[in-house]
Amino acid sequence: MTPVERLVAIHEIEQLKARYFYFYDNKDWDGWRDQVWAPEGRLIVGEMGRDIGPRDAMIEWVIGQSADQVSVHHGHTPIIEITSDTTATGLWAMEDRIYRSKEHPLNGDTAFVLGFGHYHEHYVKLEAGWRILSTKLTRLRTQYVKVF
Amino acid sequence: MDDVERLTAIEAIKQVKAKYFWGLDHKDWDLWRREVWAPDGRLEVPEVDEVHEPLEKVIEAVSSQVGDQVSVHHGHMPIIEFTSDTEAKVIWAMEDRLYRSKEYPLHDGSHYLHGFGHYHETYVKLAQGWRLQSTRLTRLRVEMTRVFGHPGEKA
Amino acid sequence: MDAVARLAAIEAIKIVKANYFLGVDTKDWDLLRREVFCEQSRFDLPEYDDASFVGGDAIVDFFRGAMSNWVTVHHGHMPIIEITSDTTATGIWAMEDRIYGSPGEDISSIHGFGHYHETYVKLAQGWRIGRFKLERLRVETGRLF
Repeated sequence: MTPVERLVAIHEIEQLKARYFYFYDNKDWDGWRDQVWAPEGRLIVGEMGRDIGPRDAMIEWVIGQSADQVSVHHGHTPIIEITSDTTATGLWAMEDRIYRSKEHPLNGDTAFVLGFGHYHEHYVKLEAGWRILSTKLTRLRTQYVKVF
Repeated sequence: MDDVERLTAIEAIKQVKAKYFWGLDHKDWDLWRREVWAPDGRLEVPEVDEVHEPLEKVIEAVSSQVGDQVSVHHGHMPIIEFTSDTEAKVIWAMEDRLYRSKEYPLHDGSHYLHGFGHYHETYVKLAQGWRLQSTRLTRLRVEMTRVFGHPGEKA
Repeated sequence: MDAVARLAAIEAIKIVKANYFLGVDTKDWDLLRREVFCEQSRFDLPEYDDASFVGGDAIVDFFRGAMSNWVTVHHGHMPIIEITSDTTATGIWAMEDRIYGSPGEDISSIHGFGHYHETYVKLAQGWRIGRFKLERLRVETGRLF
């Protein structure tokens, strides 16, 4: 891979993750499925004890979990490594906020989550472009606010 | 545009937006004029029903409204699409915090705003480089805090 | 410097700063020594009694001493990076930090916003942070007791 091809790949992967966040926070599940994930994609959320895949089953779970929440996810300072012409890894610092209605609390009683951590990801280049193969969320800190 | 030109343009656009935020948070309107905006630029803030253009009207509106605020604006993870060699559309995730004194509350009387949303923007490549042509802010969530009982006043 | 080399340098510098944030928040002091700092590094922290820490080892020692018992979150945004020669560059990063300490400490929490103003040098091992200074827009510190 030439230096230019590597820089192009890094940029495309940054765009991919940007779409991950944009579609998720705007609940555009079609966009999330078609433009973000590989069909074998897996979502690993350690704090919930979850390793969910492949993609379609995982998205059904995510939709079920999300209800009418407002979510804000931000990713920062990615370290992206192109490991071959069609594979790469990425490490993103992240912060998220989840605001739940009283009709749909998280885990039965949580109204607000503020979290900080890192996404550890694997990417694969398919015919349609780069896609997320797996993402694992680790936390530095998570705050749960319960309201009653 | 070949790959190198496109990557160069992407980096240039990111730096324009970075200077947008620096200028706004430091009230440096000359930076805005010099390095950020196209002269006919347009600012749309639907949540307060405002549209301002061209640039001098944008600066007039913004600078007259900021008062003595401390502001923090952060942009994240841009999605960049080139519509030609000299035009691009960009969506930025954003977060802002506006801290107001009691002398200069926000438009609705609040003293603190914390918001999340997206900037939907267009950039153009002029002779002097890439510049911000238009920006529209949509929101996921805004929290506005109003304080009664500042030190030295009755609540 | 040609366009490709400049873009590659900017990307490399972004990764150095990314490793800075990662090393600080995961307390990976070796990562900071190995991939981020060098002998010429210098950290200026006006809010900490105008302190300066000279050399990668001194900076890492300061971080470790100050932050070992804290959970810290440091995020960097929107860098303005300028390559000034084949081996030098400057950068300004917007930043936000959160420090979570324990009750009874002098500072139990920090939530701050500002900018790092930095220089970078390219050594045999790659780009490294030279001089960097943290200036603030706003800091909220808490004391819990």
